[in-house]
Amino acid sequence: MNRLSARQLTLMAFCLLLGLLTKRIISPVTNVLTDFFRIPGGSAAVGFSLAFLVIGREAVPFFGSATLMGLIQGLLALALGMSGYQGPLAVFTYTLPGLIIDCAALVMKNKGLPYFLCASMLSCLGSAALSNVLVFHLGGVALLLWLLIAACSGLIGGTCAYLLHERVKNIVKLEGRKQS
Amino acid sequence: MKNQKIWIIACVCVLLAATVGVGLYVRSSQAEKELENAITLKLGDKSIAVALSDLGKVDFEGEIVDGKGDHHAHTYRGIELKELLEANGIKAAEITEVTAESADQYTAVLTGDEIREDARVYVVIEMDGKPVSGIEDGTPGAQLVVFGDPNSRRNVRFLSIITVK
Repeated sequence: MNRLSARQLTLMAFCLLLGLLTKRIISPVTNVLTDFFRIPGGSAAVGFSLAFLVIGREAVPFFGSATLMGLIQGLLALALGMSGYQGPLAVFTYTLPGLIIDCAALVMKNKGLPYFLCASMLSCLGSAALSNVLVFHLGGVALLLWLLIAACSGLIGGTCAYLLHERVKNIVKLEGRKQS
Repeated sequence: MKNQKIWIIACVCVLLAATVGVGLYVRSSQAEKELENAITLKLGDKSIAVALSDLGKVDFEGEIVDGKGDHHAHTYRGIELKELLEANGIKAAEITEVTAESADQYTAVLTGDEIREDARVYVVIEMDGKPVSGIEDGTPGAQLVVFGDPNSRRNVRFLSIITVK
């Protein structure tokens, strides 16, 4: 089994923290939208948070790296009181998207825009669906809207992740070469 | 590559349109529900939703006394509570107690005799020609008005649930 280098661990920590903070910063803005539609907040902001997990998975391309980042995000959210209504269940709702990103990376070999969009959107949908099953118990049209907003958030987050990744991938690779 | 981008843009547009469409539908249906099911009447396990539009039966005038003991005359539009209960299959003669609860959990208790007394207890939706406000700004609501009380403590604003025993 390959051991993760200090550089890779730092990158993972950087991405998961950025994801967590981005969600915190974006939430008040996205809550305006979810409040208007009278559905719980969170699903609209999750895409921006998971965008960094997708980037982190690309920076540290090992199966399980996104899951690990998600798990630590969940534990941090719990420890810092950022888990909202989800409480301890946040550990699961943060970990599942990471697992989905890992699976998407495993299935999709070509890491172009479609991969970023699919990984981000599917992870957002997974997170929103699990949150609904564990906490919110929405049904019917409200659930459909909840999932659609999560999907849109995933698409926007995926696009941001792709654009950001395109700009930083050369730097990350260069740093890797320097180290090796 | 160009085809791929067109497909992605098309999918994004469809998804956004679906989200906006479903969102507006949810929003409007919830708003209608809020407006329509203004008050819930409860008798045992039975719950009856009463629309605001069913409450504006009569215009009348009355005088209430505020907390300082000052008298204020107002015009109202609403319905007598016993008439509202009878219209929903609850016999006023069998009532022993009624609890009125607001959306912010303020409660007032009325006796069966007070309910049966003519021109005593009303549910109103307009006061002095203006709609009674709901708990959220800009939304219409209902209010309980009890005439003959020494103060306005039982005039429950943001009326939400009427429980009959």
